[in-house]
Amino acid sequence: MGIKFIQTSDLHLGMTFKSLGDKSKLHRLDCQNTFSKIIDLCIKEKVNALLIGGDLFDIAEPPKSLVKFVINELERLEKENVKVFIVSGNHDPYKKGSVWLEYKFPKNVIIFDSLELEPKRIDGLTVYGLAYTNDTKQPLKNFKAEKEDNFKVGLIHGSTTNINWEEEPEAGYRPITKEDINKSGLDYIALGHFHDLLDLKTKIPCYYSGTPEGLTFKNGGDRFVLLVSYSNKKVNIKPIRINEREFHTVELDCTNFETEQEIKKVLEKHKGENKILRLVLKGSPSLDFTFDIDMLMREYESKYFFLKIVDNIHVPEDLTEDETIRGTFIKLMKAEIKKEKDKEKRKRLENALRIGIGYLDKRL
Amino acid sequence: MEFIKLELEGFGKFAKKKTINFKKGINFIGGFNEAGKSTILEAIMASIFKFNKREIEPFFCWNNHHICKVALTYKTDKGEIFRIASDYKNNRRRLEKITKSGSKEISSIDKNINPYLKEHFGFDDKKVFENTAFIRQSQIAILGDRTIKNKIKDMIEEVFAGRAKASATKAIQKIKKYSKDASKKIEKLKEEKLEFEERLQHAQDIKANLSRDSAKFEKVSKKLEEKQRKLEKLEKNKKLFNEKQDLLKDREIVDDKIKNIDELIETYTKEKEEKSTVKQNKTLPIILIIAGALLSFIGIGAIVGIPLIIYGIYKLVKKSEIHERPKSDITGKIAKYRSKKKELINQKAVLEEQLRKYKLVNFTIDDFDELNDLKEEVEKLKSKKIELQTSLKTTTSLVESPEEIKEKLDAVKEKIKELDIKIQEHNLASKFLEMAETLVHHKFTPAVEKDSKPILKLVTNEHYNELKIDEETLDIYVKAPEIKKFINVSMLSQGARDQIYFTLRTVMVNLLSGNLNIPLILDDPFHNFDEVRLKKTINVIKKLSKEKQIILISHRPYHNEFKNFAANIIELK
Repeated sequence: MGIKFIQTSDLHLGMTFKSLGDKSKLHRLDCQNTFSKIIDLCIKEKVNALLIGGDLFDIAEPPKSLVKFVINELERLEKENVKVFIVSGNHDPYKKGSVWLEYKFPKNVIIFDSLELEPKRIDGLTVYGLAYTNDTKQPLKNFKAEKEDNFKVGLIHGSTTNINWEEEPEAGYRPITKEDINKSGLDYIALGHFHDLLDLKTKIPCYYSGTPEGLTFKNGGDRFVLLVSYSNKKVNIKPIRINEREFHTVELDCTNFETEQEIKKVLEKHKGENKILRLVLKGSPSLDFTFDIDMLMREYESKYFFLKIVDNIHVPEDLTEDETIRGTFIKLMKAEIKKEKDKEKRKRLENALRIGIGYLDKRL
Repeated sequence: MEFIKLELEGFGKFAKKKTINFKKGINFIGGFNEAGKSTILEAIMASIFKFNKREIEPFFCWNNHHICKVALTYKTDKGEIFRIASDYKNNRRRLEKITKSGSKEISSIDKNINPYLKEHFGFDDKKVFENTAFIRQSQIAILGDRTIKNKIKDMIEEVFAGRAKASATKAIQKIKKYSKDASKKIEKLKEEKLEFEERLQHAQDIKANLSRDSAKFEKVSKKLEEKQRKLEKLEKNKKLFNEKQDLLKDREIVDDKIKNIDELIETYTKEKEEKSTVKQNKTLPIILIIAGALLSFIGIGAIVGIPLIIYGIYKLVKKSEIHERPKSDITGKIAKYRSKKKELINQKAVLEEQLRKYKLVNFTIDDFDELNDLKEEVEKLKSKKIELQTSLKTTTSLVESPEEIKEKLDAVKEKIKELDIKIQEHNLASKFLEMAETLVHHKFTPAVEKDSKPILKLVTNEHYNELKIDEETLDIYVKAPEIKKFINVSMLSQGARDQIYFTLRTVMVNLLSGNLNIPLILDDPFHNFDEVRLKKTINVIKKLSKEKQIILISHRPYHNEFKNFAANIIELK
């Protein structure tokens, strides 16, 4: 019989989602539901262990009710004899007063408390982990796993350097190099900290599972946990989709749009109860093109879990100027827009131009 | 400026190539319905302005779907001849200058063509051009409607505004209304915001209380524990103290008993000893009696002898009495007491042994003075703890999470911010629109007044010579020759109003195009006119046509009704 475990990280339970406005609370619950779904999956797949690669909580001192929820869920695994290996992350570091020291976790939960990689063993599986403290060290530097028959897995919260991943700004935390990975003597490395599923394509398989539930518009699309199995000295990694909601950012160039209908087409295409869409309208459509974000929101808001329409539209360069009031208005506004250096204020003026023309042409 | 020639191919009704030549004066385009009269107008527009896909598609020809071409040849006021040609299927456009020696391409790039067209036609917005140069049937129909007031004024306003049925004044009003409504919404949102802020404050206060209360609870619990421990210890000591006291009391009792027994033993031992003494001394009373008797025999000696005898007898009798119990009985008793004493000594030894355990228990009764106070205090703390616990539980279940309220508050704040930006934008729009309106009115009303004079004279046979336009309201007045006063045009007869309307439109198309003599395009405007009105109007436009090229479209064969009416008659079949 081989060894099987589920790898996840960066659940950020308890996080506040500023970009989701009044849906923030609901999405906070989504994240908890996703955690429950991960527990269900562990039971269904009859895995030996659940590995959590840091930032399970969004802060080191989460509210009691949330911790109780997590402990209850972990107890479900205790009943099924599933071990849980947890390393702390930069959001929930291992320190005095932190959740890791303040609460009693069920017996099946192993929380790494060492400053260096330290092995914890169960039948057939050895997990090397370390506590996240405010020290930023290179955890794999000069590390070599002991030789043994167990499936040897590293569980680390940190950034990988010399791997080009420009989307992630916090690259400074806990640098891990490809070289160190390949020299580690481990069979597999489970990483946390980056929020997207990522195969490092190193000699030793090394994966970020990414967040199981989207947290920002940066983490678009489906989210996964990894089902990692090991038999006959072979590692097999299978991503399993787990997210409740789906974040999407769609940028829409409206330059050649003539009616709002074209925006509606896009809104229609992406709609869904679990969808979180940020639609960014771009380009410089003609002044005949009128769109009313409020109306669009009213029509489509209920068809999404969360919808945000961002107006980044500009007025076209070649606006007609003539001697009519319409033409004079355009001329005056254009002069004002040209004068304005501040980007925000310029956008106000551009919108004012569109509003004025919209009312004059009786489209508003 | 004047149109010279329109060429169409694969445009609307005209699948095959069709050329329409225009002349100075009135160009009448006649024909039955659906003959393609309005297609001609659209073709003129599609030549001057580039139609987008949506606009051109309706004119694609179903039986000539490879071609859609239009071209307009025109003469500018300067006398130069140009040809603007569009090939919509191949998305090509070309401006040529026509000279006697032939044609020369100016440009085939939109960006370069457009400034020329703007210069030649005065407008680069198709709708504005249409709104200025075209007079539609619907507009004239309104002119005849008695129930609508200020018709001329409204129609002048829409030409000024630049869009059909548009009114800058009304647009400004609407924009201002939007701002006003939005401000009301903001007020409501601000109330909501205040409510959330209060709730947040409240929740934070409760949370602070909660943490204070739970700190209090912790403190009370700790104190209670401490006092309870102290009480327990004291009670334990008290118990030990009591036990020792009991033992000491028991020992005392045993000691007393031993003492009593000792006394008894001593007594009995003495008695026993005495008995044997009495036995030895039996001789003494007998001697005393004998001596007494002997003395009594001596006569006077009896005085001494008799008491001696009595004393002797007494002594003898007394000793007999004591020795009523036998000597063996006393010895038994002594033995019994001795064994009892031994028992008691054993008992005492046990007590001593027990007391040795309490060797270290060195309390005095004073040490337990505080015991009762302590008991009372513990009871008090216990009820205090329960009280705090209950209150904590209730408060915790009632309190709203400040974080959640803050989220709601932030959402409201965001809405206020967004709405505030919208108001700003609308205010800017109305401000600049007002400016544009004032500028245009100010610039053009005097010019319209001035330029109308000759045309007004021409079309009214010098009945009216002067008109005035209110710069702000655009109310139009003409000087009535009968009373030599300016009266509002709405007071005039139908015929006079028509004359003034055509006069104003002729003047305005020139002024707004930047003093270009743009042709006036009449799209079947006299459709519903009665004979009298029609005759008068035809007269007006005949006179106007001396100043301006006119394109008149109608299904009604005016050329049959009015002689020498048009310079050019184009009949479509």
